[in-house]
Amino acid sequence: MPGDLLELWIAQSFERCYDASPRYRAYVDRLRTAESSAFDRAAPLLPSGVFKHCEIDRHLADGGALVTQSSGTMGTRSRVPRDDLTLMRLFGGLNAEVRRVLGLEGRSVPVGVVGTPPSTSEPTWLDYLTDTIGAAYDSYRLTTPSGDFDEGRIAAFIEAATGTADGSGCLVGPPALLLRLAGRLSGRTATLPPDTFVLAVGGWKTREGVVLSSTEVRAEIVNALSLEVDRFRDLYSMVELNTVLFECASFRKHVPGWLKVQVIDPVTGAVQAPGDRGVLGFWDPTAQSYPGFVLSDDIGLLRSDCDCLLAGPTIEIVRRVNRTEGRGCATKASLSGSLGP
Amino acid sequence: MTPSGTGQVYLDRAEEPAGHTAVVLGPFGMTANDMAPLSILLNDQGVDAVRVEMASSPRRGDLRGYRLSDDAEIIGTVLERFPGSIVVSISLAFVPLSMRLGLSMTGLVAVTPVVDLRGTLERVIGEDMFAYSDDWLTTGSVVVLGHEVEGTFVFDAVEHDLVDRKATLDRVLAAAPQNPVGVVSASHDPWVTAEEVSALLGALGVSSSGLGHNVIEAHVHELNRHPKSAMALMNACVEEIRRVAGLEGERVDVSFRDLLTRARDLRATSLELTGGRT
Repeated sequence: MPGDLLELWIAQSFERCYDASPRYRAYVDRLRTAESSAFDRAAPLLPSGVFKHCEIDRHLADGGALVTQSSGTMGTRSRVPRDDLTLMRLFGGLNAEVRRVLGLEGRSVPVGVVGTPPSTSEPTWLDYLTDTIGAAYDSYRLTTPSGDFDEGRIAAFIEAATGTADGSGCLVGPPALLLRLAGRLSGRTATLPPDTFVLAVGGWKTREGVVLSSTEVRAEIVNALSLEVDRFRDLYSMVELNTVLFECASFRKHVPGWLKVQVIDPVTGAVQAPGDRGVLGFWDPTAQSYPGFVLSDDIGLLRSDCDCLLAGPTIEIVRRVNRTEGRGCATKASLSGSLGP
Repeated sequence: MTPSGTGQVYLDRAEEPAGHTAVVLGPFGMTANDMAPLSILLNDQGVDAVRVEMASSPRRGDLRGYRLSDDAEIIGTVLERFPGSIVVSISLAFVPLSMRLGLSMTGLVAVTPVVDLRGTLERVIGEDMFAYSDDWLTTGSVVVLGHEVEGTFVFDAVEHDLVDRKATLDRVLAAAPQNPVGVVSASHDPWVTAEEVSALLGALGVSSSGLGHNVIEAHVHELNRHPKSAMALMNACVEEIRRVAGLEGERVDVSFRDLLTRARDLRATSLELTGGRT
């Protein structure tokens, strides 16, 4: 999307939220009186902490909303409401990026989903996202509600993935579970085609809290399943963002054309140049039922091009924001409250 | 790949049946599970839904040897198994259905129907596949919507007179469907022209601007790629099915988020080949 059109869409999205929601309007007006250049913008970024106490804003959510929550690894869970239009745009975006970044054109790509089925009320974003990616395609849920692997469905998925003309199937799920599945399938006669994609969604910790190395997990899964080395891709997502960023064959997370990303210095609030580190900020106009302008909990950097030749910038995640940096960002914005009542 | 002759079907029963069954014939490259959302919407109207695993479904295997006549055979078998149904065809499925219009059905709803196979295929792949040489067709293949299709497809279409618009329309006219019919089309469909839809409406005896023709504002054919358009398409399809079935009252609507959840649950059941909910 051309830059000026994206800015226009962001401006329209912000104006809609500002005009429709008294709560959001009061919040933005408080920010604007604070002394901070970082938030001296038409659409100020909301620190993700704001969503810890967020309730559905009836002025923004059209016809009700599904509330999804974070997994709570940073403490209190964030809660984000998504109405139908917001979910449709999420779906549309996923579809577009699967085609653009993964190059999967087929209408019915077999997708093997591993993970916990989302709860019916306030599912975690990870569970919902994994499930949603599967729901958009010819999906096979490979895990039972109790968390065991379903051998019958695994066999059916392998058969489906093998039967496609270009062998293009996908496995989707959290890294730890994908690693377990790969170990289970390793050495079997009937296994996945070498160009099957493995898409990792969610954090890099096991249930026991052990931190996994993405490089090691990638190598282990690719070797166990005899896949081509560039088939393991990490996806960047967070509950406050209505867009998922896909890794390319060069292992860079590509920013889609409808998303604006900037890197913010947590000390000065200044926008960083490409290649310099800072807190990642996102302006996502696809969100309707909540203001999609979020300052993340991730330190990273932006790069303007990529070896894979896909157009547009990429992001690289370095680490999570520590509490001091997080408080610093919030202080700069004079954020003492939330969007709560 | 050869059709089983029996077809693979999933029967989804309505909890409060209104006495109608819809047989859903999906488009090229999509599975019966992809039709789950439509099935749910139909069930909510009281209509039982039969989702058919077409020969063009990736769940049948790779589509290199796909033939329209295989789909015609499957359709025939299914309609004999479910006589008196309302038949819902989506996109390419209308072409093999046109060979079976004489079978028992109480109504027909054609969604973005392909009428001119040659013309639509040329718009999709950018070349006239029917102009390829026999030598090429014997060994070559083209990629259609992400699936490799070999020359067998062309030979089969020629053999069964499925290539040109006139042949399809002649079959429609010969079948002279007496039961209620409806057509759902996209206003700016790049693959099925407004003129082709008009010609089909004429053959079906439906006014292009009156009852029986439901137009969605959309600039794409593959509405499944655009969730908002897909919802509009499904709701329009349900409207036509309700009208064809003579159902009274308001259409029962389902939110997109609820439809996602219910479709996921229905697909999980379908994988077990239990024949859907009972």
